[in-house]
Amino acid sequence: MKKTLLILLLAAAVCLMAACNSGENESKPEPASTEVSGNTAEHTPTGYLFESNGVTFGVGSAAADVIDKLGAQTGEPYTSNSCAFNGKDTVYYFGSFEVSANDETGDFVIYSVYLKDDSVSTKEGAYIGMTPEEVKAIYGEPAESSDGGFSYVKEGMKLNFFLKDGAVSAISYYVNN
Amino acid sequence: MRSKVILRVLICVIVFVLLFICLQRLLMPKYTREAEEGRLTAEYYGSDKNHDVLFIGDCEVYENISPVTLWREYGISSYVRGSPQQLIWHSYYMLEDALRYETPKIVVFNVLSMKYGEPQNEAYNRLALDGMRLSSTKINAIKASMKSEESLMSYIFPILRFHSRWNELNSDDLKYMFCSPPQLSVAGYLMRVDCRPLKTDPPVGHQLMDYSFADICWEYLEKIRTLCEENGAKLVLMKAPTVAPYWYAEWDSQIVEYANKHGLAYYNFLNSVAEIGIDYTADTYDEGQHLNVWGAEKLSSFFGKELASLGAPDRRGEADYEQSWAKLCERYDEVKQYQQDILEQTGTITGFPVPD
Repeated sequence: MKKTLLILLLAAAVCLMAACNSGENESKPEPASTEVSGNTAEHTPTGYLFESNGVTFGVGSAAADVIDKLGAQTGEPYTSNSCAFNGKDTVYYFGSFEVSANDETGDFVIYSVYLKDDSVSTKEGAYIGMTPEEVKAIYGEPAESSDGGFSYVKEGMKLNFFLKDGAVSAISYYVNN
Repeated sequence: MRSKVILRVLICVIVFVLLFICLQRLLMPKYTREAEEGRLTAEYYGSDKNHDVLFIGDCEVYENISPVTLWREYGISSYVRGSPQQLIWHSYYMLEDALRYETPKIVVFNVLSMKYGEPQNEAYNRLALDGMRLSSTKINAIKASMKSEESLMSYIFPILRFHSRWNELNSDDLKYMFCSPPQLSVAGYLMRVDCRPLKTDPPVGHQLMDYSFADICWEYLEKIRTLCEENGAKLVLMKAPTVAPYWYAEWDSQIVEYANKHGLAYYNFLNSVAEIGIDYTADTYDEGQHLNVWGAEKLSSFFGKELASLGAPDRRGEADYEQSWAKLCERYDEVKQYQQDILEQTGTITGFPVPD
């Protein structure tokens, strides 16, 4: 009796351990990061980059490296919290463009730069008001295209050109999910 | 001799099963110290199933609609079956699950989740589904919600998912192994009494390539509508008056069109902020993303009138209802006072504190 019980208990332990091994690489269900650190060394921008006020940055840049160097903000940053968890998403306003960063990875990392008017342009020279043909003359054929705009994909990010009335009405650098 | 062997095996199997259950209960997250909203789904089963109005949706319902206000001002008996980032398929199955216990006269669905056409995060699936009682509805809910890397078995036997929590266990895991933590919500509503005002203009959404909702969202909205119809419940659509996430006019017009096509009432409360009396410098605890209790009471007071006109009955004076709502009102006032005391003493509120 004791032997059988022991065997069953061992079987239970083995099952549990097997489950443990198979799940070693699983992420925890809680995506929460409890702190926003200022560690910036591991974050380098990828893909197409944007330049303003002498600072070159893009998707993947550490917000701490960039925001303060971009000059005066034109409004209070807006921070929204993720429901149930500790993730934060902040939008910084610089008049002609907005920079969004979140702390999903622990540090505040830029995931979007959104250009709003023609006083700024991409590093390659595209700006709001251009026709799609003018943009394509700079970047070539886009990877994705729809009625609402077209996108270029590079190194885990997208450079999006949004269209309205046949011309570029907004541009965004965005993480490619 | 043979019966002895059978008895031994039987005892061993029972011991094995008991051990498995104990371990599973120990290792399951109790959602007492973080992500408290994970307790919402299970709390529904402890409520009196006498609800004439059922709200389904994400934080835009469970933090913005106060069923106690609906009761106090209109005698409406309601419950909020919400969960964080509740996607539309979660909402459908939450409704189907609730219909196993009761038949509300009105079902209110908050339309924000129409913007999500695919599962976003396993964590939110867990918060919505782990607390659901095992049934064919739950199985179907899991199948509809799972991301490709998740498994059905890990929802039926959560120990397969949470076994690695053994080194994170705390005293609450033992304390609440076989009993529930204190009731977090009042009829599904989560309260916050503090205020963090909106300091700037409400954020404006960035232009999108495509404003159409995903086919799967329309499919589930249609399933919700049909399910309500089959059960004699009136479906009402709402959009809470919160400033983030941004609700695009292009999205709104699609909902308006759907509501008109099917003769449904749709309330986009973003269009009635002034009429409701919501002041984003006073009625929100996170800069307009969620309302605090003062904002939720204003919204509920406003919405209650509409719900009453749509046929939600006034149950005041009916003994059963009076009895269950008296308890809920008492708890509501108790939680409110408890949080106000914390706020006065510490100047801040974290999570959703409730007294034992």
